[in-house]
Amino acid sequence: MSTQENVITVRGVHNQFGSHVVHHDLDLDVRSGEIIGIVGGSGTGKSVLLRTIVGLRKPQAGTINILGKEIFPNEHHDTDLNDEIGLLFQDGALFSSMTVAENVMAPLREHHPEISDKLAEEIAGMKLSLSGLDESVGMKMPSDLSGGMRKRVALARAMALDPRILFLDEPTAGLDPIGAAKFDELIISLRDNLGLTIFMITHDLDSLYRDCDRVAVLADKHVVINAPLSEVERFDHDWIQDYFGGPRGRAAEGAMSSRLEA
Amino acid sequence: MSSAGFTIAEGSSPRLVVHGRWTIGDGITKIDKAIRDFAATTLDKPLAIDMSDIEALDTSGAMILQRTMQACGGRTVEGEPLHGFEQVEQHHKVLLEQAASNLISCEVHPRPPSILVVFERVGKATENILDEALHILSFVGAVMARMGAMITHPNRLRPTAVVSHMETAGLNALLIVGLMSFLIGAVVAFMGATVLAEFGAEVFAVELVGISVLREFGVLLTAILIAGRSGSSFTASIGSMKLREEIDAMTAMGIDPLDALVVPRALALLLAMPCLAFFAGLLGLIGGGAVCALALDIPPALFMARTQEIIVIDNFVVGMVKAPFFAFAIAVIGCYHGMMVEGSAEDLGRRTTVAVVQSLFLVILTDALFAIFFMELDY
Repeated sequence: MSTQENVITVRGVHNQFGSHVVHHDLDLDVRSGEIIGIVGGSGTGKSVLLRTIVGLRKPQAGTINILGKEIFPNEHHDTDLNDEIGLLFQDGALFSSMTVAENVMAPLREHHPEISDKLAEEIAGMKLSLSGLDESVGMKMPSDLSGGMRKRVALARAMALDPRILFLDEPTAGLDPIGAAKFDELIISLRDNLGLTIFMITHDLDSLYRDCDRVAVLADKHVVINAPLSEVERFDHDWIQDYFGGPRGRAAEGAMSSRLEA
Repeated sequence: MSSAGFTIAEGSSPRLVVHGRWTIGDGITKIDKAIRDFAATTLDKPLAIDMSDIEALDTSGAMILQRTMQACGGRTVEGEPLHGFEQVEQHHKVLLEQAASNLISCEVHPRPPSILVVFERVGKATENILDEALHILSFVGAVMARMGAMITHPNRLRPTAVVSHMETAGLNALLIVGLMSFLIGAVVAFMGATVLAEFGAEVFAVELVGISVLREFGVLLTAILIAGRSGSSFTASIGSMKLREEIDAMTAMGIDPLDALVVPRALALLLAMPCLAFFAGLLGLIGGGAVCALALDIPPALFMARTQEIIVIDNFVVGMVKAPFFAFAIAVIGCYHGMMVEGSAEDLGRRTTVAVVQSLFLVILTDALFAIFFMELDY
């Protein structure tokens, strides 16, 4: 599989709520095996874009392809990508009536009803372990977990079926810097070891500098640039200059370059 | 593309030749039992796994291979997770290494031991009931204290909230309460008249309707309806505020949640319920009167005359006196369970159900106590 192959192709997407246009003529390509970061100010429709791509929301116009399959427009409603994509929602969206282990096993049981209890438990255990949790969390309820642990469980659930693309909505939001750094490492190791493509909405500049191969900037209702970070930083656009040129952007960049020198 | 499979090559030591796509979507769930059986027969013998024919591998497939390897003789040597695997492709090595270091089976539920669980649950349930009764009592006390304090501090009262709750819990319930009472009045008249006709005493249906609707049915059925309609909505709305930490935010700002959420709801129901009960009684009489006029040949004039003559005002008073008590029970139970919601949406649902069941129980219990009370008074 060449690394230049597109796994997600979005063309001319138009999203509108009432009279409020969120996206107009939006194009986006995501390549196989890359970590792409989506940034943009509040209200520029990052989450709407994610929901549109995975098919949770129908756009007013445009075409969306994932792994060569048509998500929209899809007249036959026959596209079944549920075991090819994993989705991590902002607050985890764990099923509150199930234990952690049952949460991770839920997609396994849904897509492979013939699976034995033992195998499902083993797979769930491994996914939890891959997400950096130990097996004792398996019998806890989601409401007993901290925010960071809930995100890890949600990640384990998103990976239950070995998807080829992971969609992450602000994975490091609400985590402490140490937890966020560990989550970043986890995401990179998943990509390196399992060959995942990762589509990540983030406000965390550290994550952007450390994880992302390319960064797509949402502004003026479309993707203004989708390129490696070094190019994006130099791009002439007011919002981008404010974003990366601000004190936090410079701090994150400084931290990254000093780490590279070391 | 072929689904996952394996063959066992016999030799001096067992040797597993795997082929096909070892991914979760391609049949490893189906061969899992076979490979478990194989592992059971080759315990503690050095195993070799030949990976030359494998077409695809994912984390689940790698996990099964590692599990088999470790169950058999080829216990992973420290630092050598690929020990025993032959002809592994480069990008499969990483997966097998990952699987080796993450090979755990997780527990799904806490597994308590045997029959003792039954006793434990009985004990816990008993303790919970007593606990909850105490909590509710103390909550009632707190609400009463806050309401009492409002007499000396009238600026704590939130009239807008009270009126708004009166609208949703009272005014908006008029249609359903009225319709129900009308039908109940009609049914009582009709059923009563059928039985009374056997004694030639059809005309006593008027007394039957008047006494039963004014004294019991009007207020009791209104309370039951309001418990289902407003009690549950109190629990649900306060409970979801609790889940989203809105109540903590209020407390942190120095707003007492009892003042802001509970007292307005309780006051609103206290004021609205007597009105609803009055309305229900009226509609019940109209329902009974309509049946009398249409089906029993008792003209409206006679119905009204007999009602005025025989149904003493006491019956009406007995009915209306109960309304505020029912209202307070429903509002306090609904709000209490809302404030007690913890953790998850499921708890919210459970609390809502419990609130309705408990307030219905309390309404009927209160009604029974009132019946005994008035009987002793010969009222």
